[in-house]
This record gives sequence, C-alpha cells and structure tokens, in this order.
Amino acid sequence: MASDGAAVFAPTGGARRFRANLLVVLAVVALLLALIPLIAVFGYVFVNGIRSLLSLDFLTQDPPADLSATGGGVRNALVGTLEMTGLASVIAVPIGLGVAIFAIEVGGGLARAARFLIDVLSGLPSIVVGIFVYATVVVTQGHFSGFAGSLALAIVMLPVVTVSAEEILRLTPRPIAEGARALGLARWRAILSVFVPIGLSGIVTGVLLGVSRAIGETAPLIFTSLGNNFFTLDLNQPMQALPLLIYRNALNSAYASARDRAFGAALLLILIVFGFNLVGRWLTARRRLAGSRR
Amino acid sequence: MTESARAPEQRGALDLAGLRRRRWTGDLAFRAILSALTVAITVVLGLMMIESFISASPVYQKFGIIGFVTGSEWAPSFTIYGAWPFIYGTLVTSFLGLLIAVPISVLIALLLTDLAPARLRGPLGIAVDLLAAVPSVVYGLWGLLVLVPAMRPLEQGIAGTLGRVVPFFGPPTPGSSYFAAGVILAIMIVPIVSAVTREVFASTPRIQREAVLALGGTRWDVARTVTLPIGRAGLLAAVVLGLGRAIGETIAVTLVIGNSDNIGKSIFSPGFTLASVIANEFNEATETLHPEALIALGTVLLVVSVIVNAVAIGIRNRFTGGSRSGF
Amino acid sequence: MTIGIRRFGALAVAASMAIAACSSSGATSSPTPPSAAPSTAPGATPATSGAASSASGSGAPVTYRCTKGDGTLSGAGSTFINPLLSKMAGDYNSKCGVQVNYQSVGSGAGVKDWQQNTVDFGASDAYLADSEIAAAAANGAPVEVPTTFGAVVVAYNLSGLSGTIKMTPDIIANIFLGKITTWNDPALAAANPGLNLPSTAISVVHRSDGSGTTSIFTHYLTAVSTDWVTTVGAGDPTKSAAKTVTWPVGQGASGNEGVTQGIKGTDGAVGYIDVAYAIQNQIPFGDVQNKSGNFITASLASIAAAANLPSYPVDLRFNLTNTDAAQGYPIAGTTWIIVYKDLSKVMKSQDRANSLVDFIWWAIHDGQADAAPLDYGSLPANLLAQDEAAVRSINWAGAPLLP
Repeated sequence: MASDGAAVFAPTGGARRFRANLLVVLAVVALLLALIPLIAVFGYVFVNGIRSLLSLDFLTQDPPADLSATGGGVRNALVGTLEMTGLASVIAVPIGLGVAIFAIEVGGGLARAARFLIDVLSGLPSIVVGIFVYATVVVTQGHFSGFAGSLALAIVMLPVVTVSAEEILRLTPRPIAEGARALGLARWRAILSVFVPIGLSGIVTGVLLGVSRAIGETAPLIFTSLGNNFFTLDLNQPMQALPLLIYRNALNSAYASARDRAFGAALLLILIVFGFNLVGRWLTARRRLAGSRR
Repeated sequence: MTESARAPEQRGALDLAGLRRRRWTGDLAFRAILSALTVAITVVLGLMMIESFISASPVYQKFGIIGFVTGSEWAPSFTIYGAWPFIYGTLVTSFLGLLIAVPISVLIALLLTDLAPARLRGPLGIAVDLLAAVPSVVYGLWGLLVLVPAMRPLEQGIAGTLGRVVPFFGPPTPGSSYFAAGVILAIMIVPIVSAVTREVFASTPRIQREAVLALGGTRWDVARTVTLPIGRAGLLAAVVLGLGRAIGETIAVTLVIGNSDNIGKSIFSPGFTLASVIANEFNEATETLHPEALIALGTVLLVVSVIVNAVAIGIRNRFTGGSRSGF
Repeated sequence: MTIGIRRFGALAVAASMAIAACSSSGATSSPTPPSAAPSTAPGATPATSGAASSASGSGAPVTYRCTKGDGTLSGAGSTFINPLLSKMAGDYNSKCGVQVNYQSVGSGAGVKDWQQNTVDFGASDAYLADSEIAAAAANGAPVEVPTTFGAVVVAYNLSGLSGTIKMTPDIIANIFLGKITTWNDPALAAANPGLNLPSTAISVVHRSDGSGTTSIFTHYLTAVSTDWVTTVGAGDPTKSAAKTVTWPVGQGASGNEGVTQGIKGTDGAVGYIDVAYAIQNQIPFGDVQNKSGNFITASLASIAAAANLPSYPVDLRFNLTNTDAAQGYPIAGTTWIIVYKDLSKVMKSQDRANSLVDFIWWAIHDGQADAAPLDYGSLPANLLAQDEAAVRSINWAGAPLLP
C-alpha cells in the first residue's frame, strides 16, 4: 500500500516520505473514525432488533393493540412506508426531472428561481415541511391522510432528485448532444431519447437517494399521515410508517415489547435504505464503467 | 447554454420544412409542460415560504425583527420570545460538527482518490456512503442510549483539565449537550461532505497528478500541489452542503442536545437548536403566540438556509464556471 | 341525503332510539339502548354485552351499542393514555368491528387537532383552558370526559443508597427550583432520618417536549409551593402550571425514555416520569408527602384514593394534585377524551357520530377493565355517573345520540 505511488528514480527525502506516510496514516485513522459510528449504530440496532425481525410474523402481522404484549409485527408501518414513499416518488420524480431539464435546456429567470427555491428547500428542516402540509392539506381536508404524508415526503425528496438529475444531465457529453441535433432530432426528442437514457442510471441513482432520504423521515409525517394502529391501504386514511413507529415506541413506551418492536422496525428500515443505496451505488458503478468504456 | 437562447427553428437549417414544423410543435409542447411544472413548483414553494412569513408576522410585529433575533429569553408562559439561544445553539453545534467532520471528510476523500489501493476504493466508498443512509431517528436513539453515556468520561476529562482555564469547556457535564449534538452532526455530515469532496478530487486532472509523481513527488506532494488547490472551491461547496444539513437536522439533535431554553455557558451545557426547538415545542404550543413564534424560528432558519445556499451557489458557479470552459 | 338522515334521525329519536339506529343506516349493527335498564333487546343481538361493567357501581347491567359508521374513528393526543387507549381500541375493534385509530401526538397537539377538527376526538392530560374552548367556538362547545387516572413520580439515581427517599412538597419544589443542590441537604436529611444520604450533587432532568406529564407535575408544584409560583410563574399560577415552562435548572429530554436515560446516566440525577413507566422499568422513585402529612408510594391504590373526590364539578374540569385523601398520592392526574357537544357541525354523518359516542360510552364502562393491568386507575362510581351524563349530552343538532 505504501509503495504503489512512490517515485521510482527520483530521490525522496526522509522528511517528505515521512509526511507522505503520515498523510496515509491520518487518512486511514479518519476513515476508521467515520466507520466506527457506522459499525456501532448498525451493530446496536442489529443486536436489539434482530430477534423481532427473525420472525416472519414481524412482516405479516400488525402490532398488538396491547403495547405490553409481545409478538405481532409492523405490517401496517411497512406497507404504509412503502405506499407513501412510492406515491411521493411518483409526485417528486417527474417534477424534479422536469425542473432539472428545464434548468439545463431552457434556463432563464424562471429556472433560476425554481432551482434557488429547491436549493433552499434542501436546507429547510423537514418538520417545517410537515407543518406547511398540515396547514394547507390536512386542515383543509379535515383529516390526516397517507396522501398528505406522501405530499410532505415528495417535497422532502424533490431537492435530492432535482439536484442529482441536473448534475447528471449536465455531464452528458456535448458531442452526443450536438450529434443528436445534427441528425435533425427535435429538442424534446433528443432529450427524451438521448439525454435521459444516457443519464438514466444516474437519474435512477438520484431517485434512489431521494427515496432513501424520504423513507427514513419522521418529522414531516407527524403532522400529515399521523400514524395508524390498524392496517390500511387507503391513502385517504391516516397511515402508519416505520419511522413514526420507531419514534413513538422507542422513546415513550413503558413496555419492553414495544421497544423491541421499535428496534426491529429500525433494523428493517436501515436494511431497506441500505438496499436502496446499494442498488443506487451499483447503478452508478455501471454508469461509470459504461462511461469509461466510451 | 447559449444555444438554449436560440429559437428552435433557427437550428438545423437543412431540415425539411415539415419536419421542422413537427419538431417545432413538439418542442413547444415539451417546453410548455416543463414550464408548467417549473412554474407550479416555484409557486408552491414560494407560497410555502411566504405563508410562513405571514404566519410569523405577529411575532415580528410584537418584538421587531432585530428584537426577536437577538432576544435572549424564551418564556412561552410569559409570551416572551427571543430566538438568540437557538441561533446560538445552531451556530455552536453546526460549527463543532463541521470542525470534526471536515478534516475527516477531506482525509477520507484523499484516501479514496489518491491514497488507497484502487481495489479498496469502491467498497470503502460504499461503507462511508452508508452512513448517510441511516435514518436520523436511528442516529438519535443510538446517540441517546449509547453515544452520550460513552462520551461522558471524555467530557469530564476535558472539563476537569481545559475547563478549569476556559469556561467554555467547563463543567458540569450532564451528558446531553451542544457537544453531543455536534458529535452526532459530525457523524451525519461526514458522508455528505466526503462524497462531494471525493467527486471534486476525482475530477482534478489525472495528468497533473501523474506528473507530480513522475517528477519524484510523494502522494503528499500530489495532495498539496494538485488535489487540494484545484479542489478547494469544490471543497468549500461540500462544506456548505454539510452545513445546510447540520442546520436543518432535527430529530437526532433533539434527542441528544439536552433541550434547554437557556444559553449554555459551556459547550457541555444543554441547549437547543432552531430546528430542534420547533420539533420539540410545536406539538404542545398552546400559549399565546407560541406557535407563531416557532414558525418565526422557521423563517429564521429559512433565511439562514437562503444565505448558506446563496454562498454555495456562488462557490459552485465559480467552480463549475472554471471547469466548464473545458467544453 | 345528509339532511334526510338528519331529519329522520331527529324524528326517530323522539320515537325510539333503537329503531332509528336500525333504520337510518344498514351499517348500524344490533343496537341496544345503553340505558341502565336491563337489556330488552331481542336474542339476535350478538354485539350486545350482557355483562355489567366492572366500573359501574350501580350493579345494573350496562349494555353498549355498536354503530359501525364507516368503520373507522380517529383520535390523537396524550402520550400518557396511549397504552390504555390502544388496548381499548383493539378490544373495541374485536367486539364492534370499528377501528379506533389513536395516535400519541401529545396532549397539546391532540387539543389542536380537535380544535381544527382533523380528528374525531382529542385526548388531553389537562382539561381545556377557557381560551382553548374559545378558539374552537366555531365548532361549538366541548364535552370533556375523564377516562382514566395516572400519576407522575419523582425518579432518581443515587448509587449506594438502600431504601426509598421520602420527599416533602418543599423538597421537591426546591430541587426543581435549584435551591437544593446536594442529596445530603439538611431538608432531605431531616425527612429521611434512617437513610445514609451521600453528598452527591443533584442534577435535574425534565421533560422538554411539552407534555401532560409536565402539566401534572407543574400543577403539583404550583399547588404546593408559593416559591415556584412567584419565581417560575412570576406570581401567576396559570403560568407556573403549564406544559412548557422555562425551567430554572437542569437539562431537558424528550419523552419518558429521554428522561430515564438522563437519570440513569448521571449519579445523583433526579427527574419526573409517568408512574406506569417507572413501575414497568423498575426505576426507583420517592415517596411523596401528601396534604395529610403521610408519605405515599405511587400505586394503583394510592392513585385511586387521590382520584376519589367527594364531588366533581359539573363541567368535569378538575385537578387531582394534592387532594385531601389521606392515603392519596399527591401528584396524580386525569386524562380527558374531548369531543364536540353538537357533532352535526363537525362530522359528516350521524352514523359516524353514533359510532363515536358508542365508543366513548364503551370506553368508560367495559373499557375500564383494561385499565388496572396496565397500571391505570379506573373510574370511581360517582365520577362514572357524571361521565355518563356528559356522554348523553352529546347530540346531533340538538337531538341526543344516546337515549
């Protein structure tokens, strides 16, 4: 490891080599410092949650009404999380992609305004998004709903999707773009049949990153989907989600059984998000490979 | 993007007229859809922000903008609302988070671009990225139940030595504190800062790096003379991105910061950040003007976020403006 | 359609409640008037409970009705009552097929949701303030139904201590005012002659997420300490008994778990948590001296004793802190279910309104059987009678929903 970048014939002073090696040591220490929390967090949640997760009931049953009872599962939260995150993606992805294409292809004041607001949004605490959706959707509708939750998650996802799509589209090689136009392709045609396919895996990566950001969010759901102790597929009803279940059961429950369920849900959530991220990474890696082959 | 200013029909002069017309209507429709989407989202987000300012206006009217921002007392039962304790908490925790996270992130990025064997870079990169995938409620729980108790000896050590001289590091060390929040934030922003920094470092010209090595330079020389100077602007953008995340992080910070309305004298004192006080108190905000004051804190965050993003955009433009000239 | 049902309902109530419930909608299953009179319902009423409620002191069989509505009801509020209401909801669902979705968002949020009519009922550990009632005036007057009792305990972590610390009201107030700073303070030593108290510094942990637990605890401090009222509340009791107060000392933590972690992590720490939480997790807590001078351990019996008032106000807004009961634990409180009196203004159909009223009726009768196993106090007979009257007062455009 220490030899692969060293100069072969130029004489290297002891002090310089020492500095170079010190840099490597420092960097490795930094990496370890960053990985310790990852291993610690995952290990902690794993140890506390694996027992719940090992049972199939955990995925196929709802939590018992009696919080002090053992058994049961988190089916309602799992399904709610997937359904709301899914709808959020359906809302956020076309908008994010559209704004990204607009910003690159059209530009101008409107694009700058939209991009600026979306950038600002990315720094806004998600709880503020939840409060906004509560005031506009929940109060107007007169009840909490999975739909309101989806909307809040969509707003949370939007910046991630937009920013990554824009970056990817920006990277599309200029000659390809010019070639497409030279062939007489309409601009929209060129975008949809040349730009987007080339950047597709990158765009998918951005979407997956957005999904993993939204799926772990608690704060925007508190005031929108509220949570539901029962199983429902109806987006017009209050809907449970894994982060909500974790937040409420791990923090304020007197009962070990409810806390165990919360840790099981935490492990399940981490595995889902990890899964999404690994798929995203894999797609990125494929894109890079394809790019380097070109 | 100069070609985007041109009208579609001006390009491709060799095309047949019919094709041109079809292209033109297609482009027009496409552009209309995109414009509609962009207008819609701009309006929604704009309204959202304007709405927040309107909801918060009674508080600004009562205390004045300056009065609210600099007021150091927060007592909902007395209808006294000052944002300074939370602005202070946000500054201290974000700064601490960056102080810890940035050097680590830069070193990791160097490791993964220049130093580590190529075969290890991918897996290690994924591992660091996975840190960003842990939901913040899980970080919060772990912070509360594991990290805070584990850090107590360290805190007591610092408070007992350095703290005797510098009150900012002084005791008592109850555990939940600005310090704990800063550490949790550092853990949460390392993957963000290191990922962006890595991209930036990786985009520095390979030829220059190899030239330094060929001239007999060490990897330290590569980092010092090529990667760091060229990647500096990108690094700043990464830091600003991390700062944005740190400022807005809610649940994890709420669980470890100790949630006190007072300004803590020591870094080991409990406090509040803007985001965490909103999360903590909005549910039960029944006192006069209390919800409005919390939304006013949200608008303060909004303004901070605008500033941070404006800085980020400025840096990014300068940075990408430089590299775009290569096209 | 709505008007039709409404008018028909009003007519029918005048004639016979049972028929009305049967015919106004097919979704109403096997109605039986929940009167104190013995059930005269036909045999084909599977959902009718024949058993008398254990909580009812009258001895007469109390029956309940299962209006199905659209099969769902939603409620939000108190974190404290969550285990009990969730259990009740599960039992009620298996009996009546109505899913009552209760979410523990916190009492204040529950009241807010109720005010903005985003839930069918709210649940709060503090009764509605006049200003909160006024804020919801557009939807009409509230009905507040006390549903269960609980207590808040002063838990601590003091290594090397055997035995339970006895606490007087002054000691508790002074600890949370920052005036008593060590565990061997003369006041503590005087109250605990048998205990060998160490000189460990006291570090205070309080709930930071505004909560009903805090509300009960600050109510208690306000009742027993003029110092607390003059300093924290600047002389105004309403400001010193609140869900969010500006604490003079200590660190804040979220939820019972946050406070517990804060206590566990520091030798010498003290904080307040729900009794059910402390009992379930075997966290030591102090005996508290009550108005009669007795040191009382928080328990189901001592909470029940504190809650057994000779009479309750007509609007059912009352405090249980520092009551006169000789064996009562002094830091006790009630959780109220809150609904609108005239549901025609806030609900879409009378059928749903019936469904809501039926659940509340069930909760204060049969549902009380769920209380004791989860460390909650159940309703005494004289309060139940007043609860019944309150639930009967809930109406649909003036027409009672229950006979």
